[in-house]
Parts: sequence; C-alpha cells; structure tokens
Amino acid sequence: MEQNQVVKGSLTTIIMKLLEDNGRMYGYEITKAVKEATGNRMNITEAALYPALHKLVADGMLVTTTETVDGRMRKYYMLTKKGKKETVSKIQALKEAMESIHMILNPKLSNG
Amino acid sequence: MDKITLTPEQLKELKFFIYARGFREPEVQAEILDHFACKVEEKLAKEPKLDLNTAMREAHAEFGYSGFLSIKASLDLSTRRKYKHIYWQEVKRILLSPLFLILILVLGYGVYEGSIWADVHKVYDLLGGNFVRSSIWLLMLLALIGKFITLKPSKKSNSYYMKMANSINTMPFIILWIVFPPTNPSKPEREMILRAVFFAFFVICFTIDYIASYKMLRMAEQDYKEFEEQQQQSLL
Repeated sequence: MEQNQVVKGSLTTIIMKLLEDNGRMYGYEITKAVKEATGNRMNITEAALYPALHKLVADGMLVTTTETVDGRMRKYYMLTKKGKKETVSKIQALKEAMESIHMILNPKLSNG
Repeated sequence: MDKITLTPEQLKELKFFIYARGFREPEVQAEILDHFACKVEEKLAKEPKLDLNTAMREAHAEFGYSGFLSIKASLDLSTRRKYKHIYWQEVKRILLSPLFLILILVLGYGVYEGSIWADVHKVYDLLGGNFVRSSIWLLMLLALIGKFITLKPSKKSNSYYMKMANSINTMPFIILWIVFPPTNPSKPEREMILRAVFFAFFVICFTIDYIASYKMLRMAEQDYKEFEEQQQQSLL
C-alpha cells in the first residue's frame, strides 16, 4: 500500500518505460505488467492509470490505435517521437531522484 | 491457468452491467468494456466454477470506490481538452492570417464610408435611422441565427464526442457581440468611427468563432464516424 504512494508520483514514467520496452500496450496489460514485474508488490489502480494515459495522449506523448480483439474494441497506446524523447529524460530524472533518496537513507555508505 | 475468452452473449451482459451503472454512451462503454472484460476473464480463468455475475461484481469492486466513474471522468476531461485545443489552434491560425487582417480593414473602412454616405444622401431605414447602421444590426442578427442553424448538431451526429465538443465554452466571443458602443448624436463623426470599428470587431469575433467551431465539430463528427466503424467491426 505504502509503495503505491511512492509509485503515484512516477506513474507516467513507469507507463512510458513499459511502452518503450513493449512498443504498444492496452490499459489492462499495463496494470498486469507492473504487477508481474514487481512480483505483485505494486498495483496501479484504474483510477490512476486512465487519467495518466489520457493526459499523456492529450500532451502528445502517446497515440492510440483501436482494434477489435475477442469481440470488443481494444485501445492500444504507443509512444510518439516526442514521447520517446520525454521517456529518456523522465527515466534519467527518476534515476537521479532515486540516487538522492538512496544517499539520504544510507548516509554512511554514500559518504564512503 | 487456461485463458478464457468471453462469448458475445457474456460480453452483452458486461455491457448491460456497465449500462446499468449509468454509463450509457457507447463511446464511454467501449472505453470501460475491454478493461472490465479482461478482469472478468482473469477471474473466470482463476476460478472456473465462478459464475459470471459474481465475477462481474468482484471485478467491478476492484475498480475502487468510484467504480467506472474515474475512467469516464478522465475520458470527459481529455476529450474536452482535445476539442478545446482544436478550437484555439484554429483561432490562432486565423488571427495570424494576413488575409484576414486585410478583410477586417476593408470592412471597417467600408462601414465608415457607407455610414457617411447614408447620412449625406439621407438614406434611412423604415424607422428613420441610418440605413447602413440598421443593416449592420440585421446582418449581425442573421449571422448569429445562421451560426446556430448551420452548426446545430443533427440527431444522427448527436454523439458523445459532439456533446463534448458542444460543451466547449466560446462565451468570450459572444460577450463581445453584445457590447455595442453608446450613441452620441452630437458627435456623429466619432459615432461612425466607433460603429465601423465595432462592426469590424464583430466580424473578427464571429468569423473566428464560426470557423473554429465548425472545425471542432467536424472533428467530433469524424471521431464518431471512426468509432462507429470500429463498433461495426467488433459486432461482425
């Protein structure tokens, strides 16, 4: 539960990273991928996922294509050129933030 | 765990479940359905003895306290934002067009000269006012009526997308149409210039609003057509 609070702030980065690795994904697939990658420790709720996806589309970071799968319409999300560039900088920023947090949590180790 | 695929009849039940919770627009239902169906399929695959109704209820509970509402609210917001962006992009394009600026200057000058000409030659309307000024009022009224008639969505295109596009507020332009410069008969020259400027201003606002609204609504219609085609394909 507490992990989910941490994830909230970096949700768009997580989504973009997953799309960078997988090419295109649909909503449910993204939630499942996060669960599987973290061994069920992280859970992205629909209430957080869809606003983030819709915002990324509106900002021009993602585009969608719709296909009929198993008798229903499925919307796939993909990174745009702008989105690909933004993913690189977002991942970099997240890594730097994580390193900073690590230094705070482990002061002796990081100070040598 | 074997993968389960819902049958068309089961999908109908899912659609009805979504509909019964107040999500009646097919566009919104489609946005919810796939995610919901994936969850239900996973539940049925994990527990094959589970009946569809229980699986639906459990899957729905996993959407959280607000259920499907968060998806709809987010879709509403992003769809409005999309059409608003189209509208203002069009406004910007027209405002930066030199041809448009020339047209406004010509119109303003035409109204100014026309008002002087009507006063000099005593060309009056039925109520004894300046003919050019009355014509401006009439033209404005006709333009407004014309806008509402030509841009009024037809029943067929009264879709979710059209509703979202129609909800974009273009009030700033409408307010500008209502403001009319006060008359001052002791200074007819100033009044004519004011009216000419006002008329040119009205034309700017009206034309921009009309073209931008037209583009936005056509985009909404296009979105609906694409959605309908996709829906037809999924029903085949």
